[in-house]
Amino acid sequence: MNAKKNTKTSAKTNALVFKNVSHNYYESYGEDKVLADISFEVKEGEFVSIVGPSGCGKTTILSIASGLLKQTGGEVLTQEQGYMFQKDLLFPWRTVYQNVILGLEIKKILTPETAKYADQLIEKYGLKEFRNAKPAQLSGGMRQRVALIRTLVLKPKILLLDEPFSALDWGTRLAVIDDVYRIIKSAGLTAMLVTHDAEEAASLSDKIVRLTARPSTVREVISLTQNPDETPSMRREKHEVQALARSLNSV
Amino acid sequence: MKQVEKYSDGYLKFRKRQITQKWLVRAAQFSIFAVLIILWEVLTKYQVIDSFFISSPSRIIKAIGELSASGELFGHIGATLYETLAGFAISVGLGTIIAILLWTSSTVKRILEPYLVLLNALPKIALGPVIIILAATQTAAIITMCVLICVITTIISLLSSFINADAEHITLLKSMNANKAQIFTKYVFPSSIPNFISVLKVNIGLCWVGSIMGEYLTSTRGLGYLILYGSQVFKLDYVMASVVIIAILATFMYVLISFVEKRVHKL
Repeated sequence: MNAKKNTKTSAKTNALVFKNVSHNYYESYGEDKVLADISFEVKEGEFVSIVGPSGCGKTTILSIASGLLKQTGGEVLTQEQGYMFQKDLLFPWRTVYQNVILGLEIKKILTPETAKYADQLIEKYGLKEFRNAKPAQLSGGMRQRVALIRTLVLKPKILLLDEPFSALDWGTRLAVIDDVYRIIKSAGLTAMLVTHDAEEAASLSDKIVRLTARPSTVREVISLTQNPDETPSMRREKHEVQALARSLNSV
Repeated sequence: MKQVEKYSDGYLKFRKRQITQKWLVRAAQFSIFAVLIILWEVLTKYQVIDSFFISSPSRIIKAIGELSASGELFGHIGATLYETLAGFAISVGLGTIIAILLWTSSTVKRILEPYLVLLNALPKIALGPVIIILAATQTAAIITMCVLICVITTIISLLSSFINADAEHITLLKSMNANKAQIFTKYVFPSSIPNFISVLKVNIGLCWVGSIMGEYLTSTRGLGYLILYGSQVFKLDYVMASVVIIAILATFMYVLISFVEKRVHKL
């Protein structure tokens, strides 16, 4: 891996573009300026992490990218996305299969074909024997995998990941990160991750967007070249990754 | 999961203790009941206490026998059951619909909030005479009474469980472009079912209060009427017989809802 500062040009098309985006939250006690001026691009198939001091509006960026929130200024170009949250948010009264097809039901696209695709994904990611189990019977890692399948079954172009690993305990966490990373890369998905963990960002990303404190702007964009044969947990052991993580953590 | 065939001695002892405990509780429960009934019967028989005022188990059974032989009793039970169940169904239905409407529009909710607080605080029984004048029939007046007593608590309780439904699950549904109706049917209502059942339990009890109180105020039929009539002509056996029947019916309904609750929890 070698870390180069700033973007390098690529022929790939953009999956997501933020252009001079600003966002203020309006509260009864006043205006809360979170994003001052945010511009960056995510190319197709790229894994991008957003890091920055806490409260700098990382989750706000994901909410805007997903369309849950309308930015108060600037332009956003986005595509069909899937959102993965910090918690798995599985519905306890639904089985694994019923949880997976939730989005298909909501979007009214539950057909024999999409249902079959849901079952294929469940089988592919090793949950076949838990198809009819309730979430309470599953381990934390398995639950997060069900949450991922629930997102993937909608065939998103971009995956928005809001600290989806932070609720897991350490041992499970590394394994689940490797797992999810492999799934994302093998499906050729574009991903945008928000994280507090600098090592996580350094070991997963093709590009890191580093923000300033709020009202935030882009402090720097770091492009990385990752070896596709290494898993994120292997990369964590490497000196360059740790050095980069340290520099991200320093103010 | 496979069933473990052999249990350890410690576990067997534990289970044995558990089962013994269970039977002990049952036996104690039954004994208390039996002792009270026998004591009541014996004390009234030997004139230690006057059975004219508090009746006695044998006189209650006799009264129930008389009333059912004349066919009168079933008319009374039927009338009260009809009022109670109609009041229950209407208050649950109406309360749920209003709670959904208030959940849908936070503006309407904010406008109506002080009125809900006021109506909740008001003892609805105070409106009894007005309801009797306004309602077309006695039965309608009594059912209205039940509904008034239950509907406000139903609205408040359901609305608060709708509003407190987990925001993150709702955000997940929104990220899938769910509309308000989908958010309600897929998550908000299912997550409120335990609370919904406890509302049913409270309502069935309150509807008995409504129907009996309503019959005190205006009625020529029903168990509440029978109590009032019995007390006026000093037939306390009728009063006690009615109370016993009400206790049995009300408990039966409560147990029925508890049974449904257990089934729901297994789902």
